[in-house]
Amino acid sequence: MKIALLSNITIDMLAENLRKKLACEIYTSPGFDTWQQELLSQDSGLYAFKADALVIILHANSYADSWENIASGKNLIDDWLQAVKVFAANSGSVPVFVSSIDVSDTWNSRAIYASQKRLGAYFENYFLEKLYSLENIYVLPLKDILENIARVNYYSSKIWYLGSMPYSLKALSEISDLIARYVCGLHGARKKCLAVDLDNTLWGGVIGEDGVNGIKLANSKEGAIYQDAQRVLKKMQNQGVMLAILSKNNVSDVDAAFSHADMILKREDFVAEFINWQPKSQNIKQLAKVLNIALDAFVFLDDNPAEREQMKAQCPEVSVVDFPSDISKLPDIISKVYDEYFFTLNVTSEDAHKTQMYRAESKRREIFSQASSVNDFLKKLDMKIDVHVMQPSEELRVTQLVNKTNQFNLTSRRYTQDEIHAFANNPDSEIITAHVSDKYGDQGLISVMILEYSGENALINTFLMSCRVMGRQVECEIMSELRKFLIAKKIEKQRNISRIMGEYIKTAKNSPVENFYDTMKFRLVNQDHDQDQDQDQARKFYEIGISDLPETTGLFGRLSE
Amino acid sequence: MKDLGEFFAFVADVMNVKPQELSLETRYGEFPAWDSVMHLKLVMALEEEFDTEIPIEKIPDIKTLQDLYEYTHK
Repeated sequence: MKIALLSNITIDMLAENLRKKLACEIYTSPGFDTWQQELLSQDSGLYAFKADALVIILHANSYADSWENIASGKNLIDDWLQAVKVFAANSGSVPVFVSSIDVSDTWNSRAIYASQKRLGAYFENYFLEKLYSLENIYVLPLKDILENIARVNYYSSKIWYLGSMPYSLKALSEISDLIARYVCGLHGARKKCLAVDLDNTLWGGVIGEDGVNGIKLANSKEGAIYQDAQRVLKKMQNQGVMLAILSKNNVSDVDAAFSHADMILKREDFVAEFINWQPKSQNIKQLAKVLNIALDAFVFLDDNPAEREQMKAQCPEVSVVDFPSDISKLPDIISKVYDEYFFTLNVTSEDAHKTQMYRAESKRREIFSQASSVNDFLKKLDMKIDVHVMQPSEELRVTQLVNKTNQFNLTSRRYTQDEIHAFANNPDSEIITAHVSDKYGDQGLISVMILEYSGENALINTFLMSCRVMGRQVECEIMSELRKFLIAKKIEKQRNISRIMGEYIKTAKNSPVENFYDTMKFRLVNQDHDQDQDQDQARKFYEIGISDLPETTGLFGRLSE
Repeated sequence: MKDLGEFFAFVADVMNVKPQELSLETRYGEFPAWDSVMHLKLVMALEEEFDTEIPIEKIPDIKTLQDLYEYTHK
């Protein structure tokens, strides 16, 4: 199974958890917060991956300022959904799971005021309602996990500020369980039938001894445990789980028990009943024959440890539930049984797929009439760029980027600050930096290019960019700025460059830029096959005439000084 | 918690490697399993396991398992 995992936060730890849990192939997008571009561009790695399911984890706090008023919050959500819809329309029947969001509060109590809390709840519901209205898109209830384990246990502010990953280890583990369950739910439930005991399982006490007035079953106190347990079973039955009775009892006693006023379950809620004094393992085999399903489609719930052991020994295919020693946990355990064995998304039928594909096809036109391309998305970001020769004050930041940038780094050469200083002061080399801002804030110095001049040639010794601005055509804009920069040099008769040379050195992490120069229309002139490595194209050399460098993308305004 | 064996077992579990592959000199960035993501995971797991707090500004200073080990008895 192939799962694509997209997010506006760092997702590596979650991807690693899922790989271990599901033993499946996981796609994560290159760069940081590039999920919308991945959805919008059919050239993206996401489309090439051809996932069986797409999971999108959204962290609301990344866009904290957008939640301050109704209009900006709704705009943000509408933009998100637009990207999801475009993917759904382009990818036919690939199921998409989108996380619910937590806007109500943040760990730093930014939104402690009642009005802001209400606004948060409003946005969460607005998002959910919109998601529910979409075909082939499922809500992944992350917010439920938060509620179950409490916010203080859900987030880890330290890792958020250090690594843009907001969740605690506990939350990460629960989230990966949830994703695994939902993704597996696509294939239908793992089990079909839950076989239950009666005495001390559906009610407290033994009907044959305590009588109908003596058993514990009520809407308050201890009897409510059993009533709640029955309510959960009833809901499961409504969801399509088959219930069956396996009980050592007299039928007349059981008849009496089912006449109890507080019984939630009725006899007709059960597909079959085996009420006799035979071993339950024997009965369940009979039951399997009657229902025409295999033994491994059964789950067995019984309070009696001896019965459970006997079942495990005689019918190892049957899943036996660990009955709680603390009876108050019974309703909860049954819910967990549902999650583990019977959860399903009801989407496997071929017909349903066909309908969805048909509907997606008709929706596609609608969506494209709204003209939502990647470029429209990028234009809305209101990006501004400034490219200039490195200032001495930028040396430290440049050195940092040179030494830590892995993904978007063509050559991955590492330099000390002294070496950076030397490049800047050597008349035959130059360092160019790029700064980007968008409507969400200033991204600062995000790209470094080191040029070495030799006669009419300029060699791009180093070109790197922060992963935060990947997928935004910043690199194309920088290339067009390079063209302007070098032409200006020519006009001012500083230096007469006519050819640019580029180089790509493969590393374990820079595959996102493997074809960067090809995309920029550079000509491949030479390939080195590294002797030590068994990899092709370990090193590639390119060149391009200065006038063939790309023109401006038109997506950027200029940062004023 | 001063038992090195337990410490290595803990780290090995988080990194999904064998304890024998680890030593106090094992270094962030050099040991293949210890990349930037693993660095954060180690910090989170250590804080939880040993009920300790590593101040955010100290996290980049952790370069070797020796540095990390210090936090198990603070």
